[in-house]
Order: sequence, then C-alpha cells, then structure tokens
Amino acid sequence: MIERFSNAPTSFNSVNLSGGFTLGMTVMRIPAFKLASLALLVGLATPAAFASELVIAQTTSATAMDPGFLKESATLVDNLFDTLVLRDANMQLQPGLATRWKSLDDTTWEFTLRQGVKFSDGEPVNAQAVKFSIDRILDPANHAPTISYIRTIRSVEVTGDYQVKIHTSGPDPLLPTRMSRYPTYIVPPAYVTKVGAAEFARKPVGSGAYILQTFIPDEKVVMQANPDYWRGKPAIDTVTWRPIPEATARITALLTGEVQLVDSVPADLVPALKNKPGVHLEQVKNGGLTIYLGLKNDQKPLNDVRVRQALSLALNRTAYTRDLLHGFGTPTGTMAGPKDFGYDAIPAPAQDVAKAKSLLAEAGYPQGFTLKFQAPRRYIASADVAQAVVQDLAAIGVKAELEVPEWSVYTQQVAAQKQAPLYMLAWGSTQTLDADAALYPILHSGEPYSTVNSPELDALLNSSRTTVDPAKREKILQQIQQVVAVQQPLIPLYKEDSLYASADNVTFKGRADSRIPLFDLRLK
Amino acid sequence: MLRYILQRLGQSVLVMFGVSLLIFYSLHLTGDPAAVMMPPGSSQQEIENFRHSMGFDRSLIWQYWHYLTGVLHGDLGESLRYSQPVTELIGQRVPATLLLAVSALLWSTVAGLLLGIVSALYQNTAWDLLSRLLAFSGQAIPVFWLGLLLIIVFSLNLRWLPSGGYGSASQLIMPALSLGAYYMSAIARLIRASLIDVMQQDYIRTARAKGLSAWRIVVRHGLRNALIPVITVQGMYFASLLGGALVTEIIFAWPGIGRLAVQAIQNRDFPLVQAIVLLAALVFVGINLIIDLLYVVLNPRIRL
Amino acid sequence: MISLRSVLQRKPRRRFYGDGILGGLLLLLVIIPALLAPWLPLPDPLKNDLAAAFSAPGSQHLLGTDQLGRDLLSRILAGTRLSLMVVLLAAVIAAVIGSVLGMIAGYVGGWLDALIMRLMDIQLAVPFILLILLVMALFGASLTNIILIMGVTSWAIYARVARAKTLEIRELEYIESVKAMGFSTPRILLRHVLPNLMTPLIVLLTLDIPRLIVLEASIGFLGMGIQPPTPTLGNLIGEGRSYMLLAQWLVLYPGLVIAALVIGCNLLGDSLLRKTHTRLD
Repeated sequence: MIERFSNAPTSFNSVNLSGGFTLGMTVMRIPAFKLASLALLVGLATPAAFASELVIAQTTSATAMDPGFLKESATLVDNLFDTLVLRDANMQLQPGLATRWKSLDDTTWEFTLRQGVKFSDGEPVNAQAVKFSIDRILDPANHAPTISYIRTIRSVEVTGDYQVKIHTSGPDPLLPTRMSRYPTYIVPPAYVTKVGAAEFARKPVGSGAYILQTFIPDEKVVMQANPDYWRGKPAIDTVTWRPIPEATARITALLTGEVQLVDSVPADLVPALKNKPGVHLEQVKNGGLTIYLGLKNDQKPLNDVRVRQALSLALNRTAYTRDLLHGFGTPTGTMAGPKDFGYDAIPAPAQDVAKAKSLLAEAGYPQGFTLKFQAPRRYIASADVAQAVVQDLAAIGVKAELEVPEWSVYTQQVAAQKQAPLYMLAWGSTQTLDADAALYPILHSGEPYSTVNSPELDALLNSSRTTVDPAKREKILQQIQQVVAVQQPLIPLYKEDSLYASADNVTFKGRADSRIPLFDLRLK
Repeated sequence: MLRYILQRLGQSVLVMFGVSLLIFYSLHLTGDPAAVMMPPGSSQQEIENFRHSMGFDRSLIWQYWHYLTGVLHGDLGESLRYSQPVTELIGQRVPATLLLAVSALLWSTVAGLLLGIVSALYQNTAWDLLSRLLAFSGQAIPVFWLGLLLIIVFSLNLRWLPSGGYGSASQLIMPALSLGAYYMSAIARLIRASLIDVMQQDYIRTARAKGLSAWRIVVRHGLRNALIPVITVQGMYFASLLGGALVTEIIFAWPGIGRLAVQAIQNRDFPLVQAIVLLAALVFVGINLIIDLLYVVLNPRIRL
Repeated sequence: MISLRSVLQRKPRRRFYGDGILGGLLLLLVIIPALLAPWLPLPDPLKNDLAAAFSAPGSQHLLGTDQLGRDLLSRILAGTRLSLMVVLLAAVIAAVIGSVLGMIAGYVGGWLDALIMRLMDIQLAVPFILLILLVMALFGASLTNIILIMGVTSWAIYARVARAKTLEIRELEYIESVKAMGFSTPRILLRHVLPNLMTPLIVLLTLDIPRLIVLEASIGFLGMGIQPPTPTLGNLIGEGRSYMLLAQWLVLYPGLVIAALVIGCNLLGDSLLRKTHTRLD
C-alpha cells in the first residue's frame, strides 16, 4: 500500500460548493460529483493509472550524476548508464555493452561492442563513445577524482565502429573488472560536448535502464523506465530515490508505506522490523565492510611482530559480532571478502589470553604497556566494539586509551597519517570484488591509508598487480593474506553484513557489490 | 541622519569583513580537505594533484586574497562536494528555510502576542502564571526535543503526519511548530513585560481619564509603544531562529540552509561553509541595520 | 500598580509571587539527585548489560535502559552533572570576559570602545551554533574545548550590559571624586565600578544559563559535543533518537530534565530581576 502525503494540485478551474464548477470565466451547471466520478473512471481507464511506482530511501544523497566524476557511490548512476561489462546476481562478469573481450597481449585488451544500442538522446553507443567516455577521465585537465580506479589504462584506440582496443601501462588482470563499474560508464559524446560537464552532471543522458526525470539534490531523484532499453523495458515504470540520512526516519518511512525499499538498516534497529506486517529484512551476509584495527608498524612497541600477534589473540571477536552486532557480522582473519577473487578463507584467531600474555612477555613487555587508540562511531556499533576491545586488551595488560573522534575530524587525521598508533577503520572491496582493493591500499608502503612498511608484502602486492594469469594471481593474493595472518601488520576483526529492508511486495535480492539494479526488481 | 546611515553601513561592512576573515582562517587552520575529498584508494600523487588543482598548496594569504576578489565579483567559489557554485546551491536551499522560518514566525507571533497580552492583563494572577509557564515551556524545551516529541506522538504512534521530508503541507506542520515554540515564548514574555511597563505610564491614565474605550487604549497606545522593544530585539532573535532552523532541519530532513551548513561542516566543504556563514552574518547585520533605522523612524523622540 | 484589568474591570486582583520559589524548587529537584548520584545505590552509568537492553521503565530500572543495557536514570544524573558543570564554567568565563571588556569599553570610551563594540557585533553576527559546530569539527570535541568555545562565544551580552551600566556609573559624582584623588583606572574599575555591576550580571547569568543549557544539549545532540559513552543530556537524546522506534523513554526523560532546568532557571531569574529592580535593556 502506498500512502502518499502530497497535496492535490491546485488549478485555475475550481469547484464551488453549490454544485457547479467554473471553467475559466464560464460557469457550467454540471454537478460536481458527477464530474468527479467521470474523471475517476477516465483516470482509471488510462494506462497511466497502472504505472508501477517504487520509492527507495537511501542514507546518502546524490550530489551529481556524471558517472566519470562521482564523489560518492554509483548506486543511482548505475541505473542511468551502462558499462561494457556487467555483473550478474552471482557476481560473475557478463557481457554488457561489450559482447566479447579478450587480452591480445600483456598490455592490450580488445572489446567488441554490442550493435544497435542507443543513448536516450538518439546517439549510437559505439567505439567513439567508449573512447570519449574513458578519455575524459584520463585527461589530467579534468581532474577526475575517480582517475585512480583506471590508472592502469594508457589509451583507448578505436579499431572499428564497434571495436576498441584498450592499452594498459603494464599487465592489468583487473581490466575487465574495471570496465564493469564506475567511472567507466559510457556517456554520449555529442551531448556531453554540447552541454558541458557541469550541465551533464545535472541533466545526464545515458543508455541505461532508466532515464532521469527529476533531480533535486538532497530531496529526490525520479527515474522513468527506458522503453528502448537494450535488455528490454524495465518492469517498474517510475522509481523515486529519497535521501533520508537518519535511520529511524528511514525505517519509519518504510513502516508507514512512504517508501518500499530501504538501504542500510543499522543492526540494532532490526528488532523494530520484527513482527511488522508487510515488511521484511533482506540480509546480505558479508556484504558490508571489513572492520579492522590498524597498527602503526613503525612505532614501538607495535614494530615487534609478537606484540601485534598478542594484541590480536587478546580479542574476543565472537562476542563482538554476537552481542554488539546482534549476529549481523562474522569474525574474519582476512581483509578480503568471501566473494572476492583471491579470497582465502582464513578464520579469525580464537581468543587466547594466556598465549597473548606469554607473547608479550617474550617481546619484553611482561607488564604490558599503554597505547593511544582511536575508533570512530561510524560503523555498526563500532564505538561499543572499541570499548570491548579496550576491555579485552586490558586483560593482557595493555592499557588502550580510547578516543572517539568525530568522523570528519577522524578521516582527515587518518588521511594525513596523524591518527593514533592503534586505530579502527573499515575497508572493503564491494565494488571490484577483487582482493586487491581490500589489500593493496592498506598494506602497501607509501599508500595514504597504509601504516604498514613490509618489503615482503610490497613485493607480493606488486606482483599481484602485474601477474595476468588468473590462477597464478589467485595464489599470490592468497599468499598475501596468509602472510598478513601470521605477521598481523593489521588486525582484521569481522565482516559486517549489509542489511536492507523492503516491503513484502518488492522482490529485491541484496547484492554483494551493494548495487541496486532497478532492472532486476519486481513489484508484486 | 544621513551621516548616521552611512556610519552604520560602514560599520556593517567592517563587520562582514571581520566575519569572513575569521571564518576563512579558522577553516584553513586544520589543514585542507584534499585527502578527505578523494576516494579511498587514491595514491599520494593523486591527492597531491587534486590539492594543487584546488590551490590548497598556496599560501593562506594568497588563498584568502583569491577568495576575497572572487567574492567582490560575486563568485563565492564552488562547493567541493557538489561541484556546483555555492551561490547556486544556497539559492536552491533558501526557499525551504524561508518557508520554514516564515511559517514559524507567523504562528509564533500570533500565539506569542495573545499569550503576552493575556499575561499582562491578568498580571500576577494564577492565569498569568499559567500563561507564563506555557511561554516558558516554549523556551525551555530544546527545539530538537520538541521536534522528536512531535515525531514520536504524531508520526510513530498516531501515524498522522510524515516524519520528515519536504514538498507537502503535512510535512511542514511539525517543523514549523518546533521551530516557532521558542520564538513564541520570547515574544510572549517581551510583550508582557513591555505592556506592563507601558500601562503604568501616565499617558495611559490620562487616556482612561479622558474616557477612551479600553480596547482603544490597549491597541492604539499600549501596544504600539510596547512593540518597540519587541522589534528592537528581532535581530538577535532572528539569529537564534537560524540556529534553531539548523537543528529542526536536521531532525525533519528539511532540505534547507541549516542542514546544508551542518553537512558542509562535516564534509569539510570549505567554500560552502564560508558562504553560508557570510550569508548568516549578512542577514543578521542587515536586519539589525533595518531595525535601527526603523526604530528611528517609528519613534522620533529617540535621539541618536 | 495599575493594571489594565483593574482599570477596565475594577475587580480585586490576586497576587501570586511564588514563581521564584517554584523555580528554585524545580532546580533543586533536579540538581540535588544529580549531585548526590555517586553515593546513591544506582547502577554504574557506564556499565553494559546487554541482556537488559531496551528494558522499559520498571522496578529494576526506574527509567529503563538503553541499547547497551545501561540504566537511564544514572546516565541522566551523570549527564546532568556534566552538562551543568560545562554550562556554569562557560557562563562564568563569558561573564568575566564580557564584564571586563564591557567595563573597559564603557569607561575608557573612544576607539577602544568602538573596537570592542565591533567585536561584539562580529561575534553576534554568526549564529552561535554554527560557530561552535565549526570549532568542534576543526579542533575536536574535548571537555575543555566545549567549555572554552561556549564561554568565548557568549561574552557579548555581558559586555553590553556591563558597558551600559559602566556608562551610567561613570557619570556619578563619587567616581569623579575618586578620579580626582588620583586612583589608577584599573583600581577604579575593580573596586568602584565592578561592585555595582555584580547585581545585573548575576541576574543576567541566571537568565543566560538556560540558553547555554539548551546550546550545550543541541551540540551534544548533533554528536559534536562530548562523545559517548560519557553521558551528557544532549548526547543522551542524540543517541536515543536512533532508537525511537524501540525505546521512546530514551528521548523523553533527558528532555524533561532539560526542560525542568530551564524553567527553573527562568523562573528564578525573572523573580530576581523583579526583586532587584534591575533593568537589562
């Protein structure tokens, strides 16, 4: 049931109480209620009355719709544009705008494009469009913030109307994956050149399943189904996205019927959905971020591997996920996720206080030591987990002085490497579904978010990025995770589930890559 | 008179300048937002490039000068997060805040006047205490708590009103109620105090002695003079209205300037924060200026 | 006293001057338990008890528990203590800064006066909350930061009142004579001007504290103040807001306490204002 709290539109024509109605200047004597019932019948008879509609509530609001220059997640843009490669419900790569691709040599990939696909302004989706879309991101003059995601691409070459060759600056096994997510959505060259990037971000034109109808930042985004979509007309005609940052408000909107789908339900609000008719929880196991404790490896006493191992062994991860996350998290021994390529199912170490204490003593700290600790309150129950961590560490003699800074202060500190020697952070690879994204940026020396400096890991990470053979690459990635499990340059804690809530008449399956592909949704 | 106006104008400009300087330097004191704005996983080089392209690596003085010349040309910069000119962004949000503020003002003025007059007429009786308690409640209850209470009662429990958002009349009711409550009590108390004050004046006794009707006394003589201090304080109260709007907008997800400001602060969106603060200062200074001039016009007996 | 009512209706009116007492009582009702809390048999406000999470108010927990099973009553009492301490310290800082600057402005006059007046304008031109949010976001939310920033952004009203009163006093004869005796300016200010300021300043303080209480609560509510698990009245409501669907008492009771404090202070302040015949405009 959709209850909508909106005003009926007012108009110049009015109904007066004596039963007549005024059309412009002339007064006609048709009884109002007869007219109303006629209007109702007419309204019901037209197909427009059968338009299916879905309202989705999101945590963050979209600020711009240019898929090459996004500063936030691509959930909305994903429905307006297409990529060369798609990911299906099982997270496998499938043909998208490209029907086939293969690597010709170490640094060249060839993509054959689908023919007959058009943008909603009529332009053809062809090799020129692909080259244009990628070039505009690579162009240093455009300062694309997302350039890091395709930094391996050197150039795009048009070799036919529907064929491109992508040249990379080194072997890049991840190239097809890169072409399945932002920023490589294909945009219409003529339109973008004509209106300019700023206007394009407000009034985008793409070849995706939906066409943007209204975009009021921080208020709503309305999309209409694209009847000429190459995969077929989408089942739901109109989709409205409403940003509702506050969790209680989001869930309330679902319960009152104002919205039918909600992303990001906090774990401790799940009881609010229990036993409520018409709504249910949609859980994606391990679909969220991996929470870990970062360590400044170059600082005493964290530079000693035994100390790091001791810290890890002191923690009772099972209690955190069971009690504080109410079961919506899974302890893990690796930063990569189960759906990532290269995942190694390393279990979290069981709590072993005695071993931890003996390791500490061995390292020369039988009395323990004091350490500054920072944790944000940003993730599910993260501040509470941090306190539980403090208690667990205290049991082995390590006094962690916890500070819970405000998120914007914290991100600035972390990015500048000014955070405490022990700090809590979350990382994920949900968009690429490749272990590299979960490992490289936080383990390789010199990366802004990495406080690790290990030549062994650096060498492995470098080779994982240059090995093209998938089998070999998988082995290297697994090896990296095994080294991490032993050396503990950082301490993975647990993987969050991602939680959605939806009305019962919406068929929605949560995905490991956090996308909400409207094309796959159905309304019963 | 002209000299006074010019003087006040000059002072206002100085104040604005001071505000912009203050905000600019305090924002840049803790470093630049380059690293925060780039997506996680960006390399150090990419962050540096971004920093350079935004001019964050230049000296603070250069940056301020650049900013100031921009402002004087009407260009207040681009939002770091929305990539839109801040003036545009603010322009989009101002109507929402205005709607909220005006609605709150309207109902609170009417209610406040009524309460204050009743209080003054029945001064020091139990009625007075009752209306004063009601007025106090408006000032005592924090805006955000009142908003949450309203949501609990009317949205979660009764399901009569939507819990937030913008676009329909039913979504305006609770925010306007929460925001106006403080203002209502302030007006009620002011009217009461100044009406009591005025009623003790000789000229009221004279008017009564002349045989004028009670209502004529209250409206034409009492109220008009009692309103003067009320108007005088409008400036200060308007500033607090803006502050209250901030919290109200957050609670009800109202897409106005206040919410934009808090988000901008949390996102370290410097140009946006600066512009909003400047706007708030401009509004405040402007209103005070107008009120000072109105004051002179309304009551020529006041000497400068 | 002539009231319009008596003028109009000639009925005897009943006087009710109990508001100061009422205010005082209300304040004591809240403050005394808060101060005594550490010695009362109440659960630890910081201790988690997950099995009892979201318990409704009852015999075990008088006001219920929060998402981690912590007793709401003890958290409210602890929060009241902390919030009051922050507010009182901030108010005193503001009063001290304000009265010093106001006295100097009023007494010395000239360009110093104009400068201080303009500083006041600048400080008043930016909505308090925006300024404070900015500082908390930039410099972090520590106890000292909050007290300092709240104090520093509130001095303007005290300065205004101090300046106005100083201008009045300056013209008094005995100041002239004291000046003629050759006393130094600081001495005059401290020993002759300041004592006359005390009464209006204290009344102003009593009336300004409610505003500070609400301000501190607002900042805490937005999550920019003292961080949980340390409870303050504001962050209790802020946290409680996330759980309104499950535990409405988390939002209701802290707010009631704030309301009681503010009403109490206002009633008390008004009655002080009346009794001391102070004019604050």
